[in-house]
Amino acid sequence: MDRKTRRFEFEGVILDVPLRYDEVFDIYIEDYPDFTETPVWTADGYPVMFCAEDACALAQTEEAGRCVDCGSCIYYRQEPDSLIGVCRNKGKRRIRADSGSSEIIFEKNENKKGAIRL
Amino acid sequence: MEEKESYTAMPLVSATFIPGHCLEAVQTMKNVRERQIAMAEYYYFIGQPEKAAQETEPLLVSPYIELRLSACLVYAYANLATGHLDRSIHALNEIQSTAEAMDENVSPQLRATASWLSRTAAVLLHLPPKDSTSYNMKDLNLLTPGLRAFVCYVQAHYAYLKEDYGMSLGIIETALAFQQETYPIPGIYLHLAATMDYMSLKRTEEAREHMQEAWKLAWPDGLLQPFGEHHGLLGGMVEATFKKDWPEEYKKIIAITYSFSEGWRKIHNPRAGSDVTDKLTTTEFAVAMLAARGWTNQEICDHMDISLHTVKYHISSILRKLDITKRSELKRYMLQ
Repeated sequence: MDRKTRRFEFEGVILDVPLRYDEVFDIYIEDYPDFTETPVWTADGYPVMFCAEDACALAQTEEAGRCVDCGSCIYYRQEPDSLIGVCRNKGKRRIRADSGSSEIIFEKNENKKGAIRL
Repeated sequence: MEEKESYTAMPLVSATFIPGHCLEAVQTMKNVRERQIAMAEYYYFIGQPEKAAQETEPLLVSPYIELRLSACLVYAYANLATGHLDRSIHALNEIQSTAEAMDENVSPQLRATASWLSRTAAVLLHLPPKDSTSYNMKDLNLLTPGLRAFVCYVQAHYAYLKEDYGMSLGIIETALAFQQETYPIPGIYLHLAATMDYMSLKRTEEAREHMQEAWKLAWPDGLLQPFGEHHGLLGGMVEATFKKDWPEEYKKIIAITYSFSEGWRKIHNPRAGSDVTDKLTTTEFAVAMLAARGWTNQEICDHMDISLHTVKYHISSILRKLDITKRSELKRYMLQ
């Protein structure tokens, strides 16, 4: 039986995220995949990230102090009403292997085929 | 029955015994009334609050102040754990009014005991201590050694709540160093408070050592209540220490945590429909506490001995259940 899913569509990405039912609280909770293990990229090559992912070396916060997670990083654009978003740091952008160009172009093959079922 | 002129307040807290011989220590207490209070304390510390409340009920109106205050303190906490909030509040008020009524006609020892027990009741429930009840550090030497050690834990807990972890650890280390005999009940509480402090300072190895010391004192007698009471503040240490190696004890601690935290929350905010402790499982609560304190997923995973994916899974659940979309907002729920 197919699991219930919630569809996200942003920046050329279509994601069907499975939902798990929490019996105690009678709510559905998104079962987000580990985007560090199974990367998903936007149409222009930026990585989709879980908002509470540990901050990377490029992370920066608006305020002084250590950046703990993606959600508090200035490069992160979180999708409304979700726990995922896009890291817009150029250093994280995926470079097309055969481009030989300084222009960064994403290999769109995964997303062209339609929604990614996670 | 021949009445004594004075009684020992909180006789089990004040008792020295070899771990594993707690019940024996209670049963061999000579005075029947002290034995009755000590039995109630024993029931409470092993996680049987109904029996603890039952034992103390007859002594709530005792004319002997040490007995009455002790009965009220045990009764207040026992009823907190069983969800009888009105009874708990009644007992807390009784402690407060008894302490306030102390005047020059009562002995200095009794005044010191009353004021410190009143402070204990307030601090441990994170309620603001009333100005009308004064306590004096100089009076500490008027208490029995065991009760003095327990009061040091109360002061350390107070410093912890003020986020003065260095002060808290200083009090604890001093109290432990000055113990000439083993007072297991205060010892458990002191080591747990040290665990809380070291976890807040992200010094997990020292936290673990204190947790193990607390366990050495508690396990032989099944004194699990203190671990359940402090579960959230121990920052995942209960899970890291007991979940795999002590599964039965872990289950009991978690059951204590649920019943105690429900009562604890009600006394703080009786009108609230729900609270973070209602919404999160105990594991989620532990993860949330660490995340709110700025621990990374990797640090939480290493500390709690769970996979990185499981940590993220818990954080996702926590954020969804609390209806927030940023980890940084956790502080508002967990640390205030």
